[in-house]
Amino acid sequence: MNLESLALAQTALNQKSGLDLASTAALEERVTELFRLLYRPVFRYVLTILGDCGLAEDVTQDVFLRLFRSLSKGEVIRNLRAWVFQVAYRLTMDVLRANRKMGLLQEDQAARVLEKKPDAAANPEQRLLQQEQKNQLLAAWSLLSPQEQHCLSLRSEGLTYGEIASVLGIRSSSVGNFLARGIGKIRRASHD
Amino acid sequence: MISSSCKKWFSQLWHPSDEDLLGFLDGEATSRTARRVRRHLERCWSCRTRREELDLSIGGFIRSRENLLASLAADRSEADGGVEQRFQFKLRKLACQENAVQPVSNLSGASRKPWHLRLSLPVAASLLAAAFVFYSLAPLNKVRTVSAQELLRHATEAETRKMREVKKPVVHRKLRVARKAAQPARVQAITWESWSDAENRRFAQRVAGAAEGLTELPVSNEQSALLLAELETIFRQNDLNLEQPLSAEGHDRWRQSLQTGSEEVIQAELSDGEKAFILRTAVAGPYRTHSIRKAEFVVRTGDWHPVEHRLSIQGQEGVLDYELIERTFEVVTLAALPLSLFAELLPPVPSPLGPSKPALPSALSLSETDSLAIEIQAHYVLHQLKACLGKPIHVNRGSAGRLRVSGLVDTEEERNELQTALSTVPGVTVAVQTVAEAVRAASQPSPSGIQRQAGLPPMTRENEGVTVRTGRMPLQQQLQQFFSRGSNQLPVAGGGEEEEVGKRTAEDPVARLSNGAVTLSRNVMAEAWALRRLAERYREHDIDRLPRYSRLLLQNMLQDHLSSVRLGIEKARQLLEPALSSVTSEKKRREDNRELQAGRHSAPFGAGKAWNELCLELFGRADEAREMVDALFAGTELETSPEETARRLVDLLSHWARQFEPLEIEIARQFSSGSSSLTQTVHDGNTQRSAPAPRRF
Repeated sequence: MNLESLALAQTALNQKSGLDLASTAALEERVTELFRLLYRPVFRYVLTILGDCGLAEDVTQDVFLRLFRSLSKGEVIRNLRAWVFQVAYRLTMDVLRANRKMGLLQEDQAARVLEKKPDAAANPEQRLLQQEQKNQLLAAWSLLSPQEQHCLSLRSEGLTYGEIASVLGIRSSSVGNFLARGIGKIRRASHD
Repeated sequence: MISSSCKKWFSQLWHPSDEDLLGFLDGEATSRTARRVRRHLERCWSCRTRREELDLSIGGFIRSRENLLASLAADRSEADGGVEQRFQFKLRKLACQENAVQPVSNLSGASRKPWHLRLSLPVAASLLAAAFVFYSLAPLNKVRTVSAQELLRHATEAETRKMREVKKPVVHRKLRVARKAAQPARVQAITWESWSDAENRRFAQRVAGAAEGLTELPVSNEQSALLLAELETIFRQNDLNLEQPLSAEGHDRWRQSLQTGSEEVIQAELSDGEKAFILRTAVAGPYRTHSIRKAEFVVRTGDWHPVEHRLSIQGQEGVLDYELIERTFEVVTLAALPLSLFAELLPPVPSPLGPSKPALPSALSLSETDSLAIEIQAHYVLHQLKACLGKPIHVNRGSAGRLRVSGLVDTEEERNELQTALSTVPGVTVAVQTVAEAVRAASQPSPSGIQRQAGLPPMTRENEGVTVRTGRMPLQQQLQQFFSRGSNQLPVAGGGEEEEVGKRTAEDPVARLSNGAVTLSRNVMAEAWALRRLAERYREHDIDRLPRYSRLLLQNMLQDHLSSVRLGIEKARQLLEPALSSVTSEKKRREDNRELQAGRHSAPFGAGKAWNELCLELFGRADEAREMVDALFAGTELETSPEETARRLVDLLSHWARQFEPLEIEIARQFSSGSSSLTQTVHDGNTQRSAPAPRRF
């Protein structure tokens, strides 16, 4: 994620004069620009939680369509990155609630992940290692609480503790706690 | 008291927790904790090791996660380039919807609270004081005797009372509708008569001829239809309803939706000497096209009845003034009206001033564009009702250029629905018969009997299963063998008739497969026919010259049909591929695949072709697929052997499924390119506009 471009986009959004929001076309262009900047991290976050690529893409696109709708209604967004991830979090939770069989750790999904062919370019040793890493992560992931999973995924996408707290609606101090516990569990799982 | 050496000794006993250590590594620890952890790490070997382990764990986690994400996203990697295009596609659709629905631009970043709620207390107090001074000094005719809210409440109550007095009320109004343009200075006025049956949501209207007044230009039928169409656009965009003109409730809703502006209520005298209140609302800019800049709502004091509505509208090239002045108002009972009133839109009576001439040379070309816009709107209304899918309903032009929608529907309800929906499109005559009526008419020789138009698809219904005739199908034996293998079941596709097909009943799976395939093929053909008709109808029209909104409507219709075809093809592929692939030998399929590599099925839809050619090409392929499905499952004859037909069908479906996305993107691209130049050349003020939400698939 290019933080500099994101900061510029944020500034432009905050300055009313910087963006001729009266024109929908200008807003469309701006949202597309933000989509380019933030699509990848948001998609990866959603994918980590849902474990389904098509669904993750739909959810991510929906996030940015909501962004467009909010901006066109005149909503002022202070922290764009946190806002986008917050909407992504909510939508992801909605999907999980609506479909209990969804999620990276559900049996079908995990089996599909493990069945996936390893990277063809890698040598046999690397492939074995990749497979091993996948197995370990899936095993460790199942030991984590949902909050720990979210915290780790969001942190991996570069969000600060403060941003993670606002996305998940928890206190910043709890974020450190969840992260430390999550990492601890993963470390212990890899030692076992 | 603890000495400093003692403190030091205690601090050496302290070790940072994992959380502190992680916070420190992440740069998230408070400065005090960070300092403490840093100092501690300098002297504690074990915590330094812990830090390294923590770093290693994080590294391991990140690597495994990347690995996992890569394998999860592996399927999509090839399509990744299309993500942004797909998003832009959706965004444009949403923007069109928002554009059509949002009444007033509200994009300035302010909250949506009405302005009167956002006034702070001191500002409100000073305004109150200023108002007091103002009113004590103002001339008598400006004395405010009623607030805007009260005025509108009284008017609404009066209207409700009048409606209650009559059983099955229909509001009959005669209004003088005028448009005044400043440059060049001219007035166009018509007398517009309308009947509104709110209970049954029916509406009828007619233009009763040019309004009286010597200074006004004569108005042709077409121009009067356009004036009404324009007004309808304006009303819609401002969240008002032209079917209920001079509605106090509607006006109140509109003013409540404003963010900023000013308003006042003043006393005035009407032309007939009666007293009235004028609610004058001035909206603060910036103004969008068609948005109201200033409105005057005139209410007669005696009976709180709204009699005039004057609007200043932001046009493309300046401000236009519109006036709706009530000439007649009555609430009559439905029984007192002729039955035929709501059955057909009454044609406007020709202008008593003789044939009209266009006021400006450009007016002729504009009206052509606009009549096309009206036609597209009529098509869109039919599209929303799914009347474009295989029903024998057509839109055509009469000798005088009037738009006529004629055809057959099954029931009275369907006809009423169609009539109600089409009543929103100005200048359209609806001549739709029910089947029963048509049969009656056919039994008596009548010139108005409806004939089936050539080139129309057979009547099919989307959710109606098509039953395959009994008898042996060409591949019956092979398919039975396929299904007799325990593991082979019909796929359960989502939605519609395929669910029925997929249900594991005791029914013969081969028959279910055939029924599913034939039904899908019929549905896809209905959509393909709809595409073909649009492509043929608007073939010679340059889409760049269409008004922007008409172009969006056309695009929405095409997109809807394309999505449905794609969905149908995908469902058909899921349904047929396993069974039909088993019928053909692997070797032959490979050979055939090689042939097809060079053949036309695998060739992408013609690049560089116009949208209508692409649609026609798509129709051709759909028809080809239908022929093959019919040959395999419905017993029609084809030159090739059943095995080869099956192989070709599977290949066609699988190749086709892949080519759809670029096709859709290409058509969207053609429709979206050059839109900026379009808005400059086309006078939006004369175009049709409604705010229907496009169907989503």
